[in-house]
Amino acid sequence: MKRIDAFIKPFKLDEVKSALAEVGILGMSVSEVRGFGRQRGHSEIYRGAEYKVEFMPKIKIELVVGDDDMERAVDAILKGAKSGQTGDGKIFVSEVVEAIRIRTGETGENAL
Amino acid sequence: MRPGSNRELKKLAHQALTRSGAAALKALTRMGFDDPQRALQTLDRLTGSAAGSIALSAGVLLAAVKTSRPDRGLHHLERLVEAMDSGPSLLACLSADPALQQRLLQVLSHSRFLTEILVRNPQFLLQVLAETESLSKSPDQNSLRGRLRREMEGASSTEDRLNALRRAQRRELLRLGAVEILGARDVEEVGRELSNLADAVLKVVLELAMAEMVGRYGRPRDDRGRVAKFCIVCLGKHGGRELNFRSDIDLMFVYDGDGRTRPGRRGAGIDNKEFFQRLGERIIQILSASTLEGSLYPVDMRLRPEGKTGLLVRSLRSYWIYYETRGETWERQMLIKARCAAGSRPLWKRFRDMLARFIYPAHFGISPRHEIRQIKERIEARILERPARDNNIKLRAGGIRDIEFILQCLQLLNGCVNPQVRTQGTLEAISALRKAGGLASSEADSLEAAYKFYRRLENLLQIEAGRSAYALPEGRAEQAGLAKILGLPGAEDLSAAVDGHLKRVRAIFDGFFYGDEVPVQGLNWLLEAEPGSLRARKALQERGFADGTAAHRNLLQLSNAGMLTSTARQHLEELLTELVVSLAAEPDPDQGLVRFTQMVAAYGAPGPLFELLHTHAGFRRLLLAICGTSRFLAELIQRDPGFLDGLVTPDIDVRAGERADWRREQGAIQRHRNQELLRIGTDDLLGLTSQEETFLRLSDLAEDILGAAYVLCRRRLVQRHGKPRNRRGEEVECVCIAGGKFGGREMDFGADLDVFFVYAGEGRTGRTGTANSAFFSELVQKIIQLLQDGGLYKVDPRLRPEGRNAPAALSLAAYRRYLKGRAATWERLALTRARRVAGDPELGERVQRAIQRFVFRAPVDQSLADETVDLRLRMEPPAVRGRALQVDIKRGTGGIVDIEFIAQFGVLHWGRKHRELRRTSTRRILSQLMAMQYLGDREGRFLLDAYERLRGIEKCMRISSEQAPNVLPRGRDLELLARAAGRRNPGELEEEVRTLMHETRDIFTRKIGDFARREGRP
Repeated sequence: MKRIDAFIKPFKLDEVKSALAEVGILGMSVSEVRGFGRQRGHSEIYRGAEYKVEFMPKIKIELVVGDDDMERAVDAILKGAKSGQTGDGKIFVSEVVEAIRIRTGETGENAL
Repeated sequence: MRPGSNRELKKLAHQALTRSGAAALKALTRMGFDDPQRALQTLDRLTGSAAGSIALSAGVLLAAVKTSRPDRGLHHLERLVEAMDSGPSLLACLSADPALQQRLLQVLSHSRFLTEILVRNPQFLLQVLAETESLSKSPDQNSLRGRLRREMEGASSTEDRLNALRRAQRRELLRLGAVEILGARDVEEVGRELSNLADAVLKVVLELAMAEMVGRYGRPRDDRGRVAKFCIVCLGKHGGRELNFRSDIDLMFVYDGDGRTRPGRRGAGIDNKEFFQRLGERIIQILSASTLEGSLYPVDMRLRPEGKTGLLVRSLRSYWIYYETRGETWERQMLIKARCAAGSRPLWKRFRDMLARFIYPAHFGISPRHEIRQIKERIEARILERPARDNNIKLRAGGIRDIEFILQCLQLLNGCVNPQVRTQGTLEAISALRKAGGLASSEADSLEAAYKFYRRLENLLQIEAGRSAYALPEGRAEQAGLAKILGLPGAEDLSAAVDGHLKRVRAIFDGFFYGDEVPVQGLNWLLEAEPGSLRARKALQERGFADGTAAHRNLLQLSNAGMLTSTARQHLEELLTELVVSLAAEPDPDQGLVRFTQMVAAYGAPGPLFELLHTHAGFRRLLLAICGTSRFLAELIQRDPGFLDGLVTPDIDVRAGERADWRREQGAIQRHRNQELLRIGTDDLLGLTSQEETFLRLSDLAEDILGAAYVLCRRRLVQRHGKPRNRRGEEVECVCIAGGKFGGREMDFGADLDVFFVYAGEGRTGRTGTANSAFFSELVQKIIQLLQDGGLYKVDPRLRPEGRNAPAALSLAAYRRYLKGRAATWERLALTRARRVAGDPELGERVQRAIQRFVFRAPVDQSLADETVDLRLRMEPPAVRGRALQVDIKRGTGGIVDIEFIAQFGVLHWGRKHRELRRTSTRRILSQLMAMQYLGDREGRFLLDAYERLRGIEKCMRISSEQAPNVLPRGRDLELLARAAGRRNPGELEEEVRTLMHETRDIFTRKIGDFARREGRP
């Protein structure tokens, strides 16, 4: 099983959701986030009319899929989220050791 | 009234001492004593039976009345005399040294604290007050520390040594207190000396405590056997070398080197961490222990990581981790003042370098300006809760804290790029920021004067009471006493001086932290009000919305948009007041709110977006300016919110790989154009670029886009048809020539491209054998289509040789024939602005030469002038009975075109002779004509000004809606235009335009219309 965390532009959410739906992935959790990260650049200078923003708001999508679905899911997110402009976001894939459905006690991919 | 002259005072003193009963009391009252009865009794006890008692008493009286509080001076003198074994001889000694007597009484009358010190240590009188040198000159750090050590040497027990140290510290405080009361030195110097004293005490205390700990546990060493290091970091006023008399000292302890102590003979030693913990505890205990000799310094350790609950002592690494992961803005602020007071210098240097990276980051997630403002608002809210009238010069609005916050915020913002502003002292910071341009000179002057004044006042308050004090006294007598020391006539003058400083500092504070925002009452209730609420409508209309009900509905829609999470709702509430007030200041608040609502819906993630808008003033100004001014820029963002990201992402964030070449693909060209247009529009709206620059950038953008479209379309056509070649088999080039405002590099938003294309010669393409004429016609069609499909530019074909129905492209030979034979006279005028904007430069030169020959082929004559006027009149919009139906600021009578024609006519006329006149920009031509005196100064200046203003108004119309006509609107739209153009009302705008156009037409007529009458020279 793989866990996919994708940080995308908020206005790309609908496209990503439909791209995922097309490959049969419907369940995910979605949250609004603001990033803070590496320190670089100097964005505020005294009384300058600077309007640069280091981190624009993003949407974070989290989903856990079976190993076989991973590639399709990532492709779908890429397809939906890509604009070719800066800051299109990032996708992280990580290993999931175990999944358990609390009600039934099912484990592994059956619990997804 | 208190009599002033010495002679009069002497006379009164004599009366007081020689007469009896009411007369004596009256004399004392007139001298300035509040309680003459008591004063007389005190004097009696002091000098009673001594020989020459009257002379002694008179001397004391005269010294006392010159002090801030005469009654108290006498009373304190009595206490001192009582404490000394040889009281009467003291008086004799004082009368022999009137200057000493005067100094002593000034100190006694002002300060209970210093009186106590003297009473406990009468020997200080001669050691400190008798030596004028010690009052005017300060010992350096080393000799001060040496002296403290020597004084401790004689004592046998630790407690005795500490008492010796406490006494020595008291003596120094007495010395500096006297300096302050006598005004002998600058407040800056006094603060520095008090800090030096604290440093010296800390060093001595550290040595003492360290010796104790090492004796008990052995020396702490790291794993490699090196001695572990420790230092005491001071913060706050002490850190800034501006300590006052009785405040806490703020400290932090840092050590480096994990390991254990190595005791001499016995035991396994303890962990270094524990060693330094105990060392720290002992230092605090020594410093704050309260004894008969008083205490050294109250210590405040709460600025350390995690405050009261945090570890007392931390390793360098532990500080690093804490600040990197959890450090907050207030910690950055207080660390600005961090300084090593005692202990290992090498360790301090490492600590300082580590701190610098935290205090002065290259970028802040949330602007410190915003956070510091909030901190200050909380402090002031707490003060307001207090019942009594507040006189706290430290915390209240405009007080010391305001000054510190302004400076600290500026230091945080500028410290990364400008290390000179990283100074600990407040006055140093003011001067560094003045030099760095962070503070205007007048601001720096006001802050410096206020700070010095507050600190002197604060010192005097603390010396008086012997404890931390920041509030002006309530009583008039106390106030008058303070005023006297400060050299002010009376209590009212003191209040006036305080108020003046408070006001000036607060104005700078408000300007810096709130900018042009006016703090307003919260409008959050609007989100709770029912749709259609009268109160909501009224509130919004009062603020400048035309339709309050609709605006309220839009606000409610914002709070319902996409089912806001509770956090998002909270962010909206925080933002709401600013949103309404800022939008109301935009030219079109109503439409601005509609566009804003749509934009939020299109962008998504409303929660973080509201938060960003709330915390980032620059971003908020940007977005609201776009919404409130420009329909087409707002629509660009709504259609593709990615443009907003592109607009605000710092350039350095766009890594080389991500900056794909936009020229390669049609979609990318269109996106690039829209992104750049948004950037140019935004910079213009925010006033970051001048009007001239905006026009220049718009023209260059068009040139860039046209160039890219040319290359792309040509490559595609070549792929299909092969390269166009001449009979010799060489590739045939093509060039695009621009005229009009594009040629003059003064394009407005939404302007058409006046262009035509010329190719080098006839022939056929390689693969399909298509005739060059057909190939280039198709090329031009494709380019026009690419530009129009994306809604990028319309191409105006009127400049085409032979007019709009002629072939899209002409060969150079055909074009030359055209110019020679069939071109209309007026085309000479239009072609003065021709320049190559795309295609082969060398061919461009050849075409340009042909054009120049045509334009300057003959001197200007009557027929050209007539034709020019004729052409100009034909361009004018229809009029009814000689009166224009509408005001067309471009083509209307006296409009922008008039000015352009005057310039072009000038080029035709004198450009034959003077090549430097062959320019394409209207502004530059006019300036050149003026410089060469072909255009009178007054007329020239008027035309330049009229051109600037009319084009400015035109730009306001265009930036609001790209497709705007050039006709002044009516009604509400005219009102909005007037606001956008910064005019007070529509009437003013209309009147201005009419006057400008009227005068412009006068000049046009004089310059061109009357050409024939004057035969050349205007």
